Amino acid sequence: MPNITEQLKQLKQVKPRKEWVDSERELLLSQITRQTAVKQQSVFVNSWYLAKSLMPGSLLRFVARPVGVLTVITLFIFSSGIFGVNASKNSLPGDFLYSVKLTSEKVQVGFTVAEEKKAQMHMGFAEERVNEIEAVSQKAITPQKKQEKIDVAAAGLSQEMKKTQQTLEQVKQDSTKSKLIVEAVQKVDQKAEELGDRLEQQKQELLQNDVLVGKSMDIAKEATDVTAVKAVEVIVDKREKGDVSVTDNELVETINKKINKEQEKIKQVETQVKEAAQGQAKLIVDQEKDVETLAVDQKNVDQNIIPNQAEQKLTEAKDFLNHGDLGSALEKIKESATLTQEAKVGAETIVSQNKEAAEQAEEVATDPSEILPIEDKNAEGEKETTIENKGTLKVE
Amino acid sequence: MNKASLKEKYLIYKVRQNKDAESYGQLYDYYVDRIFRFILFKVSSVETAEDLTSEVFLKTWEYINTTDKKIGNLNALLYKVARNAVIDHYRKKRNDVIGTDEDFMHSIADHRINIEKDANLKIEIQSIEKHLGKLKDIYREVIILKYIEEFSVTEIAEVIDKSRGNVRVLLHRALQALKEIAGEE
Repeated sequence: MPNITEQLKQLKQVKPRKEWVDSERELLLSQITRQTAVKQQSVFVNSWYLAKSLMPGSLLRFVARPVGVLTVITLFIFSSGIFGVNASKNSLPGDFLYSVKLTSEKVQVGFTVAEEKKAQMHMGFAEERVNEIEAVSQKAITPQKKQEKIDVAAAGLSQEMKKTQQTLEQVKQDSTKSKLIVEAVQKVDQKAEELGDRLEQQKQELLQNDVLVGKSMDIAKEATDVTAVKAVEVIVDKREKGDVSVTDNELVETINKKINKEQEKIKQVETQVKEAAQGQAKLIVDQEKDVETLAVDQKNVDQNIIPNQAEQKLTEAKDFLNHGDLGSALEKIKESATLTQEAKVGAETIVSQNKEAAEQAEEVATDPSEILPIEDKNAEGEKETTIENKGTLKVE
Repeated sequence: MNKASLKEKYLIYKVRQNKDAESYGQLYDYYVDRIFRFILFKVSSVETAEDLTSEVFLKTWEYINTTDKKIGNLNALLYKVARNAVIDHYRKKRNDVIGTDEDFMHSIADHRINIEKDANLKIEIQSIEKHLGKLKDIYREVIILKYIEEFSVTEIAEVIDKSRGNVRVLLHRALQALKEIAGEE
């Protein structure tokens, strides 16, 4: 019988499956790559760390001691690592240091312990994303590049909002009663409202300048609205659990403001829906579409039903508020907001379709190959054909 | 300092300074088999061993990039993290007993590489694994580290956080226990 230690050594042949090793390696590297950004550091700093890794400790201490203090000061002054993080603060999507900026934001959150402070921090970063969108809009670059950069910033904004919502949920679960917590959450609500307004304004400006903003801004706007309502939900929940940092009157006032804001949105959307419907009706008449097509297109005009439904939800919210059921009032506000957003997107889609259809119709009208020419029989030599409706076409 | 350990130190430096994923990938290539094997002999299923091995490498990456301490011995660090991962796994399961002999042999047997060529060797390996499964966890651990992974007594002491003297005694007792189990069958 072979020696037991010899037998044990044979167990060294036990190995994992190669397919698992390879796929796991790929997954691991992609996970760690996603988490990190390259730090820009000076040659001095890199050399110091390399020496520290490779040299024995005693030798390192012997070399470092006489010039240690001076070296540290020099490294501090000339380390581009520090300058790198500072320089990245003004970077925009697509810039070289943008990833450094995002990483430094993550590090800041990592050092924060209190959940309500984290929520405020995420709102601060969300505001930075809105600043970036506004800055990109002012840049003298092609509309396509603008759209790409804005999409990146808007996606970042949506992420910050999601993180804020998650953090607010943690605050909600925490049973600590504190005026500071409630104040922090109130600030989150106010900031979310403000950012939502800025985002909407920016979107309209971009559309006016023919920059086709993608769905990313709509998604980001929706996320800010959800965050604002979530913040109020947290305060309502705290109040219901006996937190006296905010009074019932203050809460009722906050929720009333939300209802009024939603009502304003509904009015704006109603106008948009009417304009979209009018635009479509005009197009139908211009293009002399047949009755069947008219019927199919008419369904789009029914978008104006949705704002009515949204208005109904707000009426229900007011009823709940009057009866002191703040949680249900908030739910109705959320439902109303969803319907309003649906109507808004629908109206914008119709406007965009109208525009496209109008452009197509114009192209057809000016394309000579589509129009049958009528010959002028009196002309000699150079023949001139007159197109019945628009323009002339010379035929030699 | 030998060439291999110098290369490892350079790779660790690149990981810490540049968060170089590819350098970490090279370290992964070097250690994955042995970490997997170490965990496999301590848990009852290959699937669990795979999951825990992934966890170990991710945790080690996070540790290397957050600690201020010098990484003097990555080998020991990885095994420590692996050891802790297994302990945490059993704490969650509330079960510090390895699976039955049948589970153990079945799960190991599925994942041999190139053993099928020699049926006798396969039988011998399954037999010694079965004996290993019957040992106390600490005995099994020192046996694995000493005779399979070929650690020195000093390295074993660092991994399991005991003195060298303690490790020598454990090794002696573990081997005796294994011989008794093997002798009984």
